[in-house]
This record gives sequence, C-alpha cells and structure tokens, in this order.
Amino acid sequence: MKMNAGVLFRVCIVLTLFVLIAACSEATEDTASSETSESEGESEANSSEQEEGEEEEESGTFPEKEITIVVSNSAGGSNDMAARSITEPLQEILDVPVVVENVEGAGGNIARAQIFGEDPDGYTLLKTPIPSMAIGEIVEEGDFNTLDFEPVFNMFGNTSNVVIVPEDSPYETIDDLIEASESESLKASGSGTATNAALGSIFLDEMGVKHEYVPFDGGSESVQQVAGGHVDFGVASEIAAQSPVEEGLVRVIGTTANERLDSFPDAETLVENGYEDLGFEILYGFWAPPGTPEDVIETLSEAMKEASEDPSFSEAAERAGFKEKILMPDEFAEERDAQYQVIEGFQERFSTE
Amino acid sequence: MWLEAFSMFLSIEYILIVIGGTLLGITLGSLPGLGPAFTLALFLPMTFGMDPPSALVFLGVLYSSSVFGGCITAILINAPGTPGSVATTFDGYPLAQQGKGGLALGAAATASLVGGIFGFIALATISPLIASIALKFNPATYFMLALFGLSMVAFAAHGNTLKGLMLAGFGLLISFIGRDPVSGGLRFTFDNIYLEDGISFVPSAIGLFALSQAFVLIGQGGTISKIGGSIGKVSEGVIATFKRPINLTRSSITGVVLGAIPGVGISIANFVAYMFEQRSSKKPKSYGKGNVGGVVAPESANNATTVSELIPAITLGLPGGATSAIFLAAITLHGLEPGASFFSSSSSVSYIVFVGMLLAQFAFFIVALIGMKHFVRVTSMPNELLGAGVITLALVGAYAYNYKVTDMLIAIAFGVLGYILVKYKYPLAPLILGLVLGSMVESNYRRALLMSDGSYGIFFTPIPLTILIVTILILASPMIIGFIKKLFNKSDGGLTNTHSK
Repeated sequence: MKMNAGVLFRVCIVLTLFVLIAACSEATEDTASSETSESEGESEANSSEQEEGEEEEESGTFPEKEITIVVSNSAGGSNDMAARSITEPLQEILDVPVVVENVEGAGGNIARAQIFGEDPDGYTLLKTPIPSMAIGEIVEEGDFNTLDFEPVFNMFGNTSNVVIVPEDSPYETIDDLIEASESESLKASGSGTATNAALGSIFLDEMGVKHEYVPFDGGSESVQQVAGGHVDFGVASEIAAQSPVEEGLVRVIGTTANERLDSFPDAETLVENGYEDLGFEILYGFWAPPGTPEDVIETLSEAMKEASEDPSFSEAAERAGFKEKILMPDEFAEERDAQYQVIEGFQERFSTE
Repeated sequence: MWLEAFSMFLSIEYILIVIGGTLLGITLGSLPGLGPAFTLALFLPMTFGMDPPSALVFLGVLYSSSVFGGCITAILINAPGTPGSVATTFDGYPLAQQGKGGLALGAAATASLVGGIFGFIALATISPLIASIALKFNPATYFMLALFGLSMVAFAAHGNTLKGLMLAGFGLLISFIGRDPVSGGLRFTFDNIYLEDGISFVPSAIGLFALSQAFVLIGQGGTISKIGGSIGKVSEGVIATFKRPINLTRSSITGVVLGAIPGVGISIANFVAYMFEQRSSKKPKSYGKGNVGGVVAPESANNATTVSELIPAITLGLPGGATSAIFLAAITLHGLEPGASFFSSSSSVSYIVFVGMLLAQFAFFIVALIGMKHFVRVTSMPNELLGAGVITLALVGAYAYNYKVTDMLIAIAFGVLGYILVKYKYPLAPLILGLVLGSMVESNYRRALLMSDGSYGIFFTPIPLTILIVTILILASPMIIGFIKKLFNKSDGGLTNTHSK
C-alpha cells in the first residue's frame, strides 16, 4: 500500500510537471506553432522562390523570415484581438510566419519605445491604437516620436468614445450639459488621466461644459458611477457603454467621434455642434520603426490589404465587434498627423501633476 | 430551464469537460503565481473552436477549481497560490506541520464546496437585488470598505500589533509607487518605465510568500510535517467541517456579500471570515496554532466570493476583479449577452454554464477526497528538494504573470525581504493587505473629495458612515465585550461574596 501511494505520488508530480510544461508551451503557443510552421514556411518559400524567382524579383526578397507584431497591450484586450484577426491570412499571403507578442505596461509606452528603437527592416512591427499613442508621447512623455513612426496599414476604426448620463438624468443633449454647468458644478467620470476618456472630457470642457473630471481605474468602474447616479455624466468607450445601455442603466447623449456612430446613431457628435476639431476616431493599425525602406512598407501594406479581403478576417473582426476602416500608408499618415495636432493643442489640459 | 440544463450533464462529453477542467484548474491554481486569472487567460483562446456551451462550462469549471487549488500550497507549504488563500495559511500550515495536512485539506475542500454552493444559490436567486446594491456604491463607500479591509491588519498581525502596523504602513508606501491614479503624475519611479505601473501584487506576493518560504524550508532542512509519515485523515477533515455549521454559514455569507461588491472581493473576504470565526470562538487563543475552524472560515468565504463576484459582472456587465473580467470577456466572445436578462433569455446556455460551475464544486470535492492524501506527501518530502521545486515554480509564476523579467526581480527582492521578516518574526499578511488596499484607499479618498468639491461630508452619508461604524465596532468589540463581562463578573462576584458570607 505504501509502495502504491509512493508510486502514485510520483505519478502526480510527473503529471503536475507535464501540465506545467503544457501550460508554458501553451503560453508561447504562437511562437511554438509558428516555429514549426517556420520551417515549413521557409521550405515552401524557398521552393516558391525557385519557381517564381523571376516574377518576384521586382518586389525584392522581403520577407524571408518570420515577422513579429508587438502589441502594446495585454493578450485578450481589444488591441490584441485586432492584431490577431489578421495574422492568419497574412502569413498565408506573405508565406512567412507572423508572430504576435504582447509587451504591455506604462499604457503602451514600453512597447512603443521598444519598437521605435528596433531595426527598421520590417520584421518587427508595432500594433498600437491612436490617439492613444499620441497621448502617450505628448502627455506621458513616452520615449518615442509618434510622427516618426512609419504608418503601414490601418484595419479598424469608426469608433470613438461616448458621453453617457444616468438613465433618469434630466440631460438629453450636450447643450443641456452646457446650460446646467453654468448654474451647478457638474462631475464626470472616465477611465484614467492620459486616456481617450480624458481627451473627451477636455473636448467637452472646450465646448463650455464646465465640470470636474474624476478618473477611475477602468472603463467599467467609471460606467458604474454613472449608472449609480454618483456623477452627472461620464465619458466611456463604446464597448464599456454597450451593455449598461442595453440594461437601461445609462443613456448615450453624445459622441466624440467625427461622424455619427453605427451603434448609437442618435448620439450627436461634437463636430455637429460646430466644433470641427473636437472629434477623434480610434484607429487600430500597424506601424514600422522610423527609417523602414519604402518598398518594404509597400510589400507589407499590400499584403495586409489582401489579407483584409479574406473572409476569416471579417469573421474575426465581427466576433470582436470591430468596424473595418482600411487605410493605406499615405491616408493613415494623414489621419495620424491630424490627430497628433489636436492632442498637441490640448497638451496643457491633461492633468499630470 | 435548470432541469434541462442539469440533464445536459448526463452526456459523457460534459462529464469529461468537468473532470478535465477540474484537474487542470486545481493543478494550475495551486501553483503560486499562476492562479485563476492566469489559468483563464491561458485557456480562453483555446476555447474559440469549441461550441459555446462546452467552452463556457470548461472555463467556468477552470474558474472554480483554480480558486480552490490555491488552498493546497497555502496549507501544505505556507505559500498561498491565490490572494484569497492568505488567511488559510494561518491555521492550515500549523496543521500540516503537526502531521495533519490531510485533515486540513479535507476541511478546505468541504468548506470550499459549501461556500461555492452558497455563492451559486445567491447567483441564481438574488443576483438582481445584489447588483442593484452594488450600484449604490460611490468612491466614499469604497474608501470606507478599503479602510475596513485595512482594519483586518489587527487580526493578520497575530498579536504582534506594532510589527503588523509597521508592515501595513510599509505595504501602503510600496503601493504609492507608480503613476498617481488621480492626477497622473509619476511617484517614486526613478525614471524607470517599468515602475510606472507600480509594484504588481502578483509577483510581490509570490516573492513574499512562496520564495521566502522556500528559503525558510531549505534553511530548516528536515520535512514540513514534524511527525514523519502521518498526514491525518481527509475524511476527518470533512466531518470536522460539517460539525461547524455556524462557521460555514457565516463565512459563506460574508464571502457572498463581499464578493458582490465590484473591486473588493476575494482579497479581503478570507480575512474577514477568519476574523469573525476567531472572534466568536470560545477559544480564540487556539487560532493560528492549527484550529480547523481557521481553515474552514477563509476557504468557504473565498469560494463563495468567486461565484458571487460574477453577480455584478453578469447582471450589470461590471466585473469586480481580473478573473471575473476575463470570464465576462469569455461570455461575450461566445455570444452571450451579460445583463439582467441573462437568466430570463430564451437561451439555455446561461443555465448550462452555471450548472457546470455548480457541478465543478462537487468535482473538485471528489478529486480532493481521492487525490489529497497523495498531495499531502509533499509534507514528508525533504525540505531541500521541496524548496528547490518551489523556487522554480515561483519564478516561472512571476514571469508568466506578464512575461517580464522585471517581475522576477521584484519577486526575488520580496523573497529576500520576506525571509528576513520571517526570521525576525514579523507577520507577512499585513504587508500584503497594505499593498493591495493602498491604492484603493488613496484613490477613492481623492475621488470622493473631487466629487464633493472638497467637502468631507461625503464620507458621512448613510452607506459610508454605516461601514465606518461597523469597522469601529468590530475593532473595539473585545474591549466592549470585556467591559460588559467585567460588569457582570463584578455583580456576579459581589453576589457570590455575599452568599459565602
């Protein structure tokens, strides 16, 4: 009996270790699976190169090894899911493995600073949203220059923040808020201090909604304060507002988007109210380190465009609730420059001290 | 609907999912640093290919069993796998040292089962009510709750009040590292970008509990169990637990209530339940030395918390902690809509998920009954070997938390600190309480004042004031009870005196 128990115990330990190893390899699943497919991919690439060598001469030999996409947020978040929705079709088109790596921390600034100093060869790309990147640089003094990053390709957009009020609030429009703020001191909740929500609060302030912005740790905490009627209004991401709106806890009265949103078509934009600069669109796209050769970027953006036409891409996008907004490098750069300028203009308004 | 959901689990597929998920969950949950949030995040992408009911049952089972797994290392090697098991070490580890590890684990499994069932009943019956109460909480309320949590230092200090206060203060200090949560400015970061997010709880707890304990074990030599070979009977633990119905009920309800408050939950519920248990006991001195009641209380509370944490997540879409946030994401990804209508919707999937979670409670209970006596043999393993194993797992856990080497360094630093503190007989739990509750105390205090235009009146509105009064009463109750007893004794004594005369 004692023998038996001893053997069983050893089996338990071995099993535990086995699970642990499985768990670890699971965690690096992307790397592992792509390593195996790397060799396949390479041999395939080699054979196809030999076959169509002449045809492909004009686009150069890029890419000839795996491409790493560094996501500036944790696995499972919206930025991460956006990146992962394109990797599969992309690796088929480029014929090399595409690996996603999450480098989170300091609101994304760790990843941004890391890729900013990376070799500009196109094999390491950054996946980070704007305007977050611009806010991270300008307000939180990130160690990189947003304007020097090479825009590669943008996948998703058409989303922004929304202005929400408690269900039983007397306010129906942004104008109501402006009017109310003249006679009483309004309080607003949002997530964080150097965030899209804080930018939204600054926009409202600019329009004449005088209020005290109270930062919370996350979107859902901030929405809870609105739902409980502890603040007069809140600025929240569309995703955070979605289910409380459906539950009838909060109402959406406006949006910081440039155009009306598909999900809340009745919410007026600030731009409609005559403030052309007071709008931003959250764009989920890819960036390359400064100085990446133009032909490499072209190869990448063309391949991504092709990948975005793949049905599996749209499926993944739909599942995560993204809206496609395809921008090629030139258009993407324009959007970036415009957003950067807006945020630079409001630099002093973010509270950092 | 419930019946239909139960009948689903007669199929072999679901039974296998429940058993497999339980084994995985217990194993991963028991490893210091991995814990429930990590386990769920790890397996979430794997479930994309599964059909929604099986995927969610699998994740639900993982969720419940990994929280339970946290108690195994807490009891056997004094290294809690999850923050919810810190109070379990107070009596669980002394029991293991006395060669009664099996008894302690049996009690923990039974208590977890009962706590889980309580949580489940709350979720199925009164969740809309609980959710509407959670909405009433403003920053002033959260501040008072955090203060209440900090008052637990008095119990976590095990009589070393001065040392406990010092360490709680040190924990608070560490919690201030990083970005100021309200103004956004940097504090104590020394221009190091990795410190901007502050010192994370997970790697520091791994260092403080697991690593330091490994150092202690290696230094001690010998085995954990002072009585070689003896482990105590698992079944005795089960019986001992059911002999404490009041403790079970009280602790489970404590867990349900605290779990339902978004953001408070699991890290303080186990302390509060432990405190209630010790307070109401006739022999308070026996706690901390290996009283089974001290295992039953925190374990039933933390499992009740796990389930009730899902109440605000599911009915309001407001998750209370990292683990329930991931579970909420899983629910949405698999096409279910969180919200008050979660249970009234025509889809039976929501019922299946929760029946799966309920069955998971029984599954880990059975697994515990069968498997624990083998797990317990860890306590008769040479400490040098065990210590080496714990160090490896702890460092892997610290790294796996965020895939950052910095976190391993933090774990090592806290491991050394923990070792020194243990050597000089400082209690470690107050440090963790300070670290966990520091930012909650500070940020909510400042938010409350922002919302009240600087008026302290916001702290004296009914809900915060009630919590404050309860905190003071609990802290002062030994004095009050002592005073009343004295009065009685005096009159008693007076009476006997006259009689004797």
